[in-house]
Amino acid sequence: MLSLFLSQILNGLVLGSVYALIALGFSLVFGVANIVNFAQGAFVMLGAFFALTMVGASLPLWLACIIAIAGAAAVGLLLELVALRPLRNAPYIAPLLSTLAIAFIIDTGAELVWGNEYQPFPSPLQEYVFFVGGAFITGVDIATFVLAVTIAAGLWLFLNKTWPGQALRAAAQDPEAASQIGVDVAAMRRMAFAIAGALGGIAGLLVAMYYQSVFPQMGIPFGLKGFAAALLGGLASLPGAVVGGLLLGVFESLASGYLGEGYRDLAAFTVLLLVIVFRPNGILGSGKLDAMGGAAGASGGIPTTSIIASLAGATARVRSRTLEAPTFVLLIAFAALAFLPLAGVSGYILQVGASCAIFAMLAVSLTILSGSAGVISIGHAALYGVGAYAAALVGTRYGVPMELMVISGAFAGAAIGAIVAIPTLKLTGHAVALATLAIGQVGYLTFLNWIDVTRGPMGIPGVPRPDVAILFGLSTNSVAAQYVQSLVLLSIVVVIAATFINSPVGRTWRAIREDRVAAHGAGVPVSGYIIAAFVISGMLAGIAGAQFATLQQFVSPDSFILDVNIILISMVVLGGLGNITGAVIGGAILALLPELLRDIDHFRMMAYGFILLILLRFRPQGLMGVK
Amino acid sequence: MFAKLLGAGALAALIAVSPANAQDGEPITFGFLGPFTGQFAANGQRFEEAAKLFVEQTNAAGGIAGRPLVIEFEDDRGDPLQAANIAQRFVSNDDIVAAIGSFTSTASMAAGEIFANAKMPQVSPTSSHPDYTKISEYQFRMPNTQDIVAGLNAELIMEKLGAESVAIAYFQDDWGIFVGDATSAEVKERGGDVVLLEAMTPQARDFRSMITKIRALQPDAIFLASHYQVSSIFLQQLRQAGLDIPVGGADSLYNPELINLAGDAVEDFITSAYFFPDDPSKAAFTEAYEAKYGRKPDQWSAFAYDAVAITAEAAKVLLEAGEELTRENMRNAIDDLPPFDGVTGTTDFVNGTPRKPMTLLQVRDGEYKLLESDS
Repeated sequence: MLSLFLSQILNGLVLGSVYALIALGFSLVFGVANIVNFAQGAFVMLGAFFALTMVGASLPLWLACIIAIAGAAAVGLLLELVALRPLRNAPYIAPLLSTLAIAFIIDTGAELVWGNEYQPFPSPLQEYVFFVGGAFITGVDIATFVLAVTIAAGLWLFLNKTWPGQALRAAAQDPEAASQIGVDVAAMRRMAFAIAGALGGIAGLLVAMYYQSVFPQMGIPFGLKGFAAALLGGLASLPGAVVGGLLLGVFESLASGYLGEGYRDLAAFTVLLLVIVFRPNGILGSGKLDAMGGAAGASGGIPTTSIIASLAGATARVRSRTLEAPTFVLLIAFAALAFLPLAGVSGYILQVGASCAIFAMLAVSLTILSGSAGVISIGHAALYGVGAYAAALVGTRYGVPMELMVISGAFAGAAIGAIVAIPTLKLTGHAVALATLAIGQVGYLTFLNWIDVTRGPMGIPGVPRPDVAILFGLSTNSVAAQYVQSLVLLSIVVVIAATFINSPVGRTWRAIREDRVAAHGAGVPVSGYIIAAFVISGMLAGIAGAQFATLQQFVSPDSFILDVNIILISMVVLGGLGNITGAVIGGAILALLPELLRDIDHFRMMAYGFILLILLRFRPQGLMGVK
Repeated sequence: MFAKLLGAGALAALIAVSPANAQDGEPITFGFLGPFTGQFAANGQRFEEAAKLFVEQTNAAGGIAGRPLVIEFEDDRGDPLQAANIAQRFVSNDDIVAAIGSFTSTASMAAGEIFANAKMPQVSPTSSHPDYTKISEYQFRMPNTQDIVAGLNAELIMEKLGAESVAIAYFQDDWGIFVGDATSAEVKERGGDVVLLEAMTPQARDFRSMITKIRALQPDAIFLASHYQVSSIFLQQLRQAGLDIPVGGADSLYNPELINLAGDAVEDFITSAYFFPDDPSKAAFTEAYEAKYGRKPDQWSAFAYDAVAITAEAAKVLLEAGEELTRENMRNAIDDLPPFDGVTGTTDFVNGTPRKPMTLLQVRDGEYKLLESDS
């Protein structure tokens, strides 16, 4: 089977080259602007569709490609202008979320503009096929590899040997000093985004030629792998992006060849997490910047790792009034809402109300981890899913009372929370966001692939709604009962969260969030507190998962996809980090919005993205303020 | 043929009532949930088009027993949570007497529990999940059970492709897993050899690893239990690798888009289908659809059209018998309908699932043709 091995290595290098191109754009923006740009995947898709449109207008392919790359670069510039420049003084979590919202808008917009069908893409180079033993490569493969290497080398030369390149690096390292010696820092940022857009566009063209087809969702998996490659190689390290991309490509191809296609992504993300346990800064990355509080730290601000520090400078924490209701007020409100079924409202309202309560629970659980402890998580759906599956499995197999289903979900969430904490312990800020993104993917892919337990895509149907034993067999088997149950569980979740957040533990979490190095220096066992945050957050997410399982009576991987992770972190940021009242409101609003927007039909999800973007623009510290 | 179709459907309605008062009667409302946006929108939009065509045709021909048909469409994005919300919305709306949808089995099943509790019939155009019709007696679907499909697939592999050994690639969703497993079991049952049974994950677009394995295993044929989008990529990569092993596929691969995407790589490909637009007996539907939307209907359009038609037929039977149009009566009427002649063949529900004959097609000169025909 030498040919299988050789073939996997060749495939891996080609795929890895594409990942490297995406990771390069990503690392460049990260290095210069200190921003994790989640829209990098959208550039990939746009590059391909721009070219397709130009080919459709009868332009020759080469010209179409050039226009497409220019178009993608223009979108990069636009992104900087619309989504990031207004947020320069906002907490850095805001621009991160802003790029997520933009990616969401671009992806749903592409569906509206170009339709959802896969469309054929011309790929003349694909006609040339060369056999190497039993393996083969095509003209597109060679072009991809050569282009990636050339571009990486060119970029390196540009950054190290030319004046604009050196100015770009200077702006990245120390914007204040660079502007004093006459570097136009704002122009440098724009240049970084334009180059990132162009690199994404080139990757998109190569992907389109490789698959000979384009479709609106094509950028998403490549964006994810690009982030993974950047993290693997070392964030902000350009050679690291190339090495990370190639390694990831080869590794996933080998996994696909020897373990089966189903394990490709699972293996890729798992290895990423394992590597960062041992090398938190990636293979070629250095920890210098992070320890100094990022690029902003070098500009004279007090070094900080805080997620609520702004990009422009770390000295002034973005202050705003914090609006938070006392816990008992929230409980009274939930109790009042629990009487809604008696007012004769429809089952639809109750169903939506119960989903709002579930998302409120999730937002509260995540605000402990991401808000209080400052560990930005874009993988929280994994813990939510674990809770849902645990409750569903215990419920369907053992016929236990309702409270045991909920407790099973809570325990499972807490246990997995402890495990997934490990790879993130040594990471801060942006890197942790990427690591949790990988955790979320590993969670989803495990639900999808571990068929013996989760039944994979078949899901677990017929989840029971058993009686509550401690309440003398109270029935939970109606929408109204489920609605009330969700409010009861939400109350429990809020009480647990408030107890921790308002205790010395919560203060320590906030100390770690504000300044990890100082907390460590003051003798706080930082790792222990972060694991505790994951465990408690996981437990509460597990309770939400159990409620989801009994409400839906059907659990399948579709409910724990990437979109859910993005929406969850949005809820927490919009509510105000670490603010329980904010989390409840943010969770309820974002769960309600898709239902409220039903009347605008196909534009629904796009409007959702825009609302998110606008809220971030005007309330970057969240609706209720950071606690 | 055309007259026959008219005679069976629309003409009966025309004779039964006078079209003049069609717009005056109280409307009959169905709820339709499907993924009209998002990842599955290419399928969901075909649903919506077909359903809207049916409504237009029905109301132009006088409605259902003189009452206009109205369909409320709601988008679930393939998300089970949204599907459940929509199900409650439909159930809470007293005007809605039956639900149609969704596309993905997971969305259909999340909604199904709610429809079952509310005793509202649910007709899914596609959902092939074996547990879907087990939710309750209120669930119906348009495709065959998988045992029939698996038998036909095995016949396609062993007789039409003439294969003793086969490599099976299946899409990793509930449908693909089931078709892959059932087909594999059936091939082995008939004495064939399954040398590879491997998943295509929803994110996977690169099949060279699998193709390299197939090259080493040298099966007589390859069978794809997958969707047209990834199958087109698989076929192109397979032919690039210089492998000219014959390939067949499940009924999902009857789709003109497959040829559009894969070009020459799909030549000689054999698949089964419920619906074939060039079938002269389906000309009325195909022509009307093409006239309205500028594209030929695909299998999803046909399933959705039949799902709405059969539900409408049940309403008509009830009204003509002078019975009340309740959800419960609708369920019974759907179950008790005589074999219904639609565009996907004859539907006669047994425990919510039909058994209908399928056609074998082959791609020749860049077009689907009946396998047995000479042209």
